[in-house]
Amino acid sequence: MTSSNLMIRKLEGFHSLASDDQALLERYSRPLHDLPPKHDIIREGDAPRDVVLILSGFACRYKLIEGGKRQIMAFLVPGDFCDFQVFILKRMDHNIGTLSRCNVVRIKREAVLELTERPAIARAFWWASLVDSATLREWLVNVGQRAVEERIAHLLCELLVRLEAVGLVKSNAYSLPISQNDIADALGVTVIHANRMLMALRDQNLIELKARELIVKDVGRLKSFSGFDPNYLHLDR
Amino acid sequence: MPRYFFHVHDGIYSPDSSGTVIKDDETACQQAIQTTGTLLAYQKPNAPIGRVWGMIVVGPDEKVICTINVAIDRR
Repeated sequence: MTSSNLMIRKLEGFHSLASDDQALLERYSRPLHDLPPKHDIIREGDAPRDVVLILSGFACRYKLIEGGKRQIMAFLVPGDFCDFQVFILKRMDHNIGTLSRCNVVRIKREAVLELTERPAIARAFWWASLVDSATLREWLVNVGQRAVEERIAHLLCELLVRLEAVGLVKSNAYSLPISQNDIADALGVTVIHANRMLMALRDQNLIELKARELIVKDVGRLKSFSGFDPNYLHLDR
Repeated sequence: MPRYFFHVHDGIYSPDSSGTVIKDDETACQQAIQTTGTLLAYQKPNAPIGRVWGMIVVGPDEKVICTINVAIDRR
């Protein structure tokens, strides 16, 4: 049976977890903290203590450069960790902040160590970490080589597949509680350009955006338009 | 914050129907220049190119804030 816990759903994208492993993960999936939008969960330079798990809403990894320009390096969606091994590091080298209102769980270092003593959970955490790295590589290719219209289409395909894996897509539609500024900062373009390209995708009847919900009108065409291959998400168990 | 509209003419008029919220005129002009660069850089190789590529930035009260024209002379 599919778990209602999004962390378990995500990890089961790699392999099934026994009921005692699921129970342990469930035990550490509370209490929930409600965070407002645009709230820094952890800042560059901070000493990381807990591992943060996103259970609702969107967050991101980002860096600020001189002049206040922001580069978003990853979108964190429900079921995602903000690095389960992060407490090994002395200082954060980037920021993690909410983009929308989020429900998060803070998992203590001791709890993470206990969880990783369970072989199936440890392997699933490694898998999640490898998928994070693979996603970052794909983003580099996306930003470095694809035309802007294709970059946005690729990102929207990626979010479709990632959210589908945790059961948050219905009839090819998903909640997209982020702004065009956020999309622009993830893709390295101006918000004007991001806006134009979203409108171009809409005009080609590939997507529809309404009230912070994205509807993919033709999944096959959007994937082929952006050259999207989900292999880097490693969801083929 | 005010909403600005960035209409493009690249042989075909392509109006901006939704606009973008930006803090002031100066930032809108700077963003228009930057966007012109990336829009031109990522045109598809077979995209139709008119003799003049232009962007008109329209701010609150339909006031034109700036225009950007790129002339493409084929000889």
